[in-house]
Amino acid sequence: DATTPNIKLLSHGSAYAQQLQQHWLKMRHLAVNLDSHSSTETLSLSRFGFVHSQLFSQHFQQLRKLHPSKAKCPTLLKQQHTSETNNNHHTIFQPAQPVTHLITDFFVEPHRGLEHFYNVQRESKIWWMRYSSNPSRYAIVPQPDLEKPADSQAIDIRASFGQAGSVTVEQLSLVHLPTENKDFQLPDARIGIPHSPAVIRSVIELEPASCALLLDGCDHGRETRSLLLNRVLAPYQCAVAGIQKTEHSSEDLHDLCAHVSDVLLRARLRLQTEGYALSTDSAQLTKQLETFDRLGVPYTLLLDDQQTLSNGLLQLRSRDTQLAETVHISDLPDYLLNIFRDY
Amino acid sequence: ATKAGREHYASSSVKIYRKQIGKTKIKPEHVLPSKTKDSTNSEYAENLVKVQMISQNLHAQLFPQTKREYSESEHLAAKAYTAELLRHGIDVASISPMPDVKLKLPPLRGKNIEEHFLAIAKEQVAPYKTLLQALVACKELPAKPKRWAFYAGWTAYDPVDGTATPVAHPLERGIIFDVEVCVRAGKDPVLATAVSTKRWYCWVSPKLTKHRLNVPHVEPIEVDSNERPHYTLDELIPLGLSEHSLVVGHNVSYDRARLREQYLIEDTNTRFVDTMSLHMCVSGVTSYQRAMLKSKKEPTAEDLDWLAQSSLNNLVDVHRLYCGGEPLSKEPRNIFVEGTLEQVRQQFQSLVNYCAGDVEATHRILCKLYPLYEERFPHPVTLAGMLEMGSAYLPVNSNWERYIRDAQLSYEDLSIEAKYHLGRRAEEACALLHGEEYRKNLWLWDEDWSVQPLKLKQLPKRKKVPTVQLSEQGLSVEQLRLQRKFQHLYEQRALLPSRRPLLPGYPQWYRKLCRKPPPSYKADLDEEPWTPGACDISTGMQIAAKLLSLCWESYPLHYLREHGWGFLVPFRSSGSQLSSDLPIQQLLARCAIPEFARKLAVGEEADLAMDQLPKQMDEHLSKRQFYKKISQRQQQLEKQYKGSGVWCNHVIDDCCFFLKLPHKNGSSFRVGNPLSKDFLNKFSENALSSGDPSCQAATRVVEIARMMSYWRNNRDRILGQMVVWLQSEQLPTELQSYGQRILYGAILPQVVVAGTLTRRAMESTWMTASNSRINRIGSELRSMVQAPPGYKLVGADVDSQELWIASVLGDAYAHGEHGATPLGWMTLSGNKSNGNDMHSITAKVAGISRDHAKVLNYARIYGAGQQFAETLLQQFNPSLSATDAKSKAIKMFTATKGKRVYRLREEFRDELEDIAYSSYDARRLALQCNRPVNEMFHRPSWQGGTESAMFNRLEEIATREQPETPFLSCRLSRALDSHGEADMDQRFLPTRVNWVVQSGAVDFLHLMLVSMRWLLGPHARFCLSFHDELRYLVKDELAPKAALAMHVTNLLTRAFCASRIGLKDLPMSVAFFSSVEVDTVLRKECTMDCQTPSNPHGLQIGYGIPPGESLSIHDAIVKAGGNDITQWPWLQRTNN
Repeated sequence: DATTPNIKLLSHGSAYAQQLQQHWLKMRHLAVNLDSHSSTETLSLSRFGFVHSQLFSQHFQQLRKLHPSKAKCPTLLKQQHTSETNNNHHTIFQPAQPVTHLITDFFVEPHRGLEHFYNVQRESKIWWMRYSSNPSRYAIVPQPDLEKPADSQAIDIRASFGQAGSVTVEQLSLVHLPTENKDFQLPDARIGIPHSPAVIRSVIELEPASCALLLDGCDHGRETRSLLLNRVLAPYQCAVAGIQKTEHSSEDLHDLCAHVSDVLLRARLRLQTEGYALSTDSAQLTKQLETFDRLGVPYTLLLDDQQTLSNGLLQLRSRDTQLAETVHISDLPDYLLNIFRDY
Repeated sequence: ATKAGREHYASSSVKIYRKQIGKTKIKPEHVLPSKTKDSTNSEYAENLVKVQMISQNLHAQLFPQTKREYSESEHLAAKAYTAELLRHGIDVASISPMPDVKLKLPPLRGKNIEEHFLAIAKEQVAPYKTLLQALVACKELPAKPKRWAFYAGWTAYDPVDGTATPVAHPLERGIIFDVEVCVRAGKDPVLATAVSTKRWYCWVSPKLTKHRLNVPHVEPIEVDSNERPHYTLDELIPLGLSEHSLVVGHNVSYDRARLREQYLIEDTNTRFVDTMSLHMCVSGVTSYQRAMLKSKKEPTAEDLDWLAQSSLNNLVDVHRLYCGGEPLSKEPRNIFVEGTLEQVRQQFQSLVNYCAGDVEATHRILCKLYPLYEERFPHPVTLAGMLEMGSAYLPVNSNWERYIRDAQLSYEDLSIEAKYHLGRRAEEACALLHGEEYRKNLWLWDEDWSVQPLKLKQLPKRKKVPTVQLSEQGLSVEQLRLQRKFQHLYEQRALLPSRRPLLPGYPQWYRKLCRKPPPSYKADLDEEPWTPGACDISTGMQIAAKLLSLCWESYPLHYLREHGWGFLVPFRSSGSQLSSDLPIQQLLARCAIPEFARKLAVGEEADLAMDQLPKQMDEHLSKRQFYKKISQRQQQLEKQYKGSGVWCNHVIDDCCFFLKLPHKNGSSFRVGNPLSKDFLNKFSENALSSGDPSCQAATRVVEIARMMSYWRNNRDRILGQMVVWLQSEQLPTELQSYGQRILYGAILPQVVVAGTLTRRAMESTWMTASNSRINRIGSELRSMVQAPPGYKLVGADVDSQELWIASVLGDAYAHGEHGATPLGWMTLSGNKSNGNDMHSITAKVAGISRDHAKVLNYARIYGAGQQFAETLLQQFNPSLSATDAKSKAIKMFTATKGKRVYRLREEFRDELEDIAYSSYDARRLALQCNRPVNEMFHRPSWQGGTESAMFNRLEEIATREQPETPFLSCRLSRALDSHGEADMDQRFLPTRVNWVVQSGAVDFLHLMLVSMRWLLGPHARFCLSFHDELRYLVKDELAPKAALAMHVTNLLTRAFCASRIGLKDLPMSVAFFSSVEVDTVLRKECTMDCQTPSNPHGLQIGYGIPPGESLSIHDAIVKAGGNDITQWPWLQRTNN
């Protein structure tokens, strides 16, 4: 609903947001990473006015002092900032306040500002597309209405949800720093001449963006009610399920499930904290799998007390194809690590 | 013709025949002064059919000897014209006048406009012609040196003793020249030879003499574009900056692109003569003839004539044609194509000799060819125009590299996106394996759904599996217990098959799309990482169309190896006893049996019964009957089926017809990919659609495919453009300060100045570049030609150039008055908003849209017949039946081209009635008299249509013994000479008719080039011209004057053309361009923002390029500082 207020992430959602945050940190790894802070100073509301804020010049000085080798043009700074949202438009829900702002500032040669701006736009759009179940959802939307200083530009990256509307997942703005102010100068990495760089600021509001990606996982038009979370970002990557085919509950099957879970956890794969699930008939198993699908768990390992216990063959069932392939216990965990490789 | 109907124009060799109007004799002695309609405006003028003519002041300057007066008989004749116009729905009183224009033109050279162009063109070519004639006159070239010196740069050789002397550049101003490039080492030249009338020269690249050349490397604009080659002037061949030099070569634009000074922003006055283009002018061939020349088949007798007169365009064949003798050897060329620089070094002497051999051959060709050319192309404007066309120049800057990068990246992004969608669809489809649901799927039922299980090998008896050592490091007690407990399971690994099946448990078709995972996991991987899922999938695969559930005319697509892609049309409902894999119930649920199929199926029932008759029947007979039956069925189908599928005699499982998708090349072709370029538009026309409404992916994938097609088709040519970048010291001083940050360079498009039979220029990238489209990656190509700061690109498109040429020929021929034929009037005064322009009128007649009518009109003027029009009509509207298309086409042709009528020759008029005979009657009559048709009748003519006069004129020219263009008297290629065949039986008549207009358009262009040079002298640099478009690079401050010069050029050129065909006046509507664009980039219209997927923000926002200006004649006069052109400084000098 367009006016749904106060959307909050629950535990599963928060775990997901955390993954997103981690990936944001890993992206553009050459950045100078300034710590997160939740200052009382509200983030400058204007898309372009931030360059005049206290915080901005403070960070600029920090860059020059603490990271002299990176204080060149082009360079980039990352910071996290908790405050009220500044994005009240074009969003089909309102997040609970405050929200976490993930901010990246690019400092680039002033005469190539536009060119860099488009490169960043494209890179960012691709980044969102990669994490989405429908890459065609994302669009770069220019913000022409904003009152802007000369040479400045702003765009939103929006995820569209058909009739329902769209959610802004990232805001990008290009601003030129005042040339007269010597405090804001950086040397050109190529020719060494100092100049006042152009700044491209990217702002992602973590919680609403996570919500958008979660929505994206539901909005797939398939018959199943799976949550199609990206396998790299999913808070739980695998689940382990035991199927008891014989009448008596088997201690060994319990042990095997525990063992497999342990192997995966040791490989740093993310498993549901409750551990493995056991079912005794196919109806129960179907229900179990549906639960996993709705939680967005991409893969479930199916172990049974007949085959698996005797020869180590188990089923790797995929949320997306609804099919299972046979693998051997000795393929673990490498086979899964390859699947979840983040490239 | 009687004396009164024939006039001879003093300055022209063209004789003008005017058809007499009815039986009225025109008596020139009764001349009455005409009355000016609008007496309040002394500038206003209109002609007999109320077409507004150029203002009085312009007429007085352009046609000083002609008075605007009409005789009484002419007024009388005008009534007949007006009546005829009215019959075609044209009311001559319907137009409103345009404002008059006052200009003070520089005085014409000579008595009239015709003498003027002759004089200025002679003057323009004079310095080059002198140089050229010296080369042609040189019967024996200086002696070639015995040995070539291996020096970098130019070396001159003494003609007597062969002494080698290094020189900065060749000392003479006229040379024959050839460059060689080591293709594998780049596009820059490695060696070149040249000869003048005095001595030989050889140029060797420093790249060749020094093994490691230390060329200062300029950092390309983006780090990741390092792989793109970066050429600078230092790598090219200098020719010096002397006034007026001439370079002759075969396909000389290739050599020109490797000359240093040609890339400078200021023009150097070096001009190029291309022997290949001269050859095309004299002996060019049609595409059919070209195919014949290439084919190895024995030629037929009728082809022998022209085969002796022509050849393919390469140096060897052209040399054989004009010079004969020993064939040239092209053997050493392979080293340049395939070899390395080291190999070139090793065979230096023989390779330079080879290069020099080509120079000698070019000279021999020139000596033979140039006199032929001069004779057949007598007007100096032709040579002047060709020289100008050969100096095209496209300025670019750093945005060029950005454009290429952006286009490449958007292309990759979109192809990944398309792949992702297909992969998702494939995953989703996998679920159909549960409960064999796939059997009910209309697209996937015939895929291979078999599953391969993973089985352990049987352990041989009394053998134990080897023990496996598992790492126990850092494990807790419990972990260790579990690991040890299941140790034996790990040991079973030895029993796994050595070749592990991929994805055991998944259907075969899906597994084909996946890759094998790496055997183990390594944290850091450099190579392309493996991804799970269907990664080997693309829109080019058969499975793609199926995964997207595509339908044609709402029937599901189906693929058969023998017929390609088609679709399934059910004809039998339930009750079929045969077991079929085809999900017929689902098909029926989706598509009810169409009426035509039901009818056919009734016949089919009977056929079935026949089949089940005892098998005593003669097999042969039944077979024959079967075929007969099919053809009946086909006839029936054609009658009843309204769609565009192609019947191919194929029934599937006795319940469905298989109809092929229509292929653009005809019904016998198979469609290999329904997602290919030709079908992408069908998607928007709804013929092709996705059968799954929830599948947005299909729409998107098709959209993506459409966006990608332009770049895919043009990418290689665009990436292959040789851009030469200028160092800042090579730029004009005003530009040097910009040059530090932004790179400036240029592309010299490799234009063959006369590349076709019609002498139109040819070039593969720029001259075929389409306008930018919002959904085509990279289609902003032309706008990447950008004027450097301080310069503007000025140019215009000639408004309906070919239409005007065709119609004015008809006007002049039929009535000697602009606009007196319906086509002429519509071209000059027709108005889209009044619905009386040509396209609207055709649209009305044939009952089609104006846009479609436009295509048909041009097709007809280009020589397309009625049958072609039928095909086009059906293409526009696939549901149109053949009969309807035919009747529409007939209607249209009767209204436009008219009816073909035969008139008796004089000697038969006594015995037979002298009326207009139809071709049927004429043939019948001839048969009765036992004489050939053309002995009894004159050449048939067209009558009664809006365009009849035009076609009569075109055919009259085309059927002459020696056809010439009407404006500059340029002859048709020898390869199309008629060899005494009867008029209408000539083999290449449609081509010749088409040639009249198109070659006339080339004359028009050459005239414009000459006029512009006359008006602007050295102040405009020619950039590019293609068909009816002309663009110049000029300094900012001169841009308005250049725009006015363009307008005046249009005026002078049209006045010349009209004058040449006997019309001493010009209509106002065609006197000036509707607008001249003054812009910083090359684009169709100066307001076009060129948004494309690779330039999503447009030029203004994305590149910071503002729109240009579009100047009418009135705007241009104001901006250029007044209408007195005689005051332009450089013109004053020449006038005095």
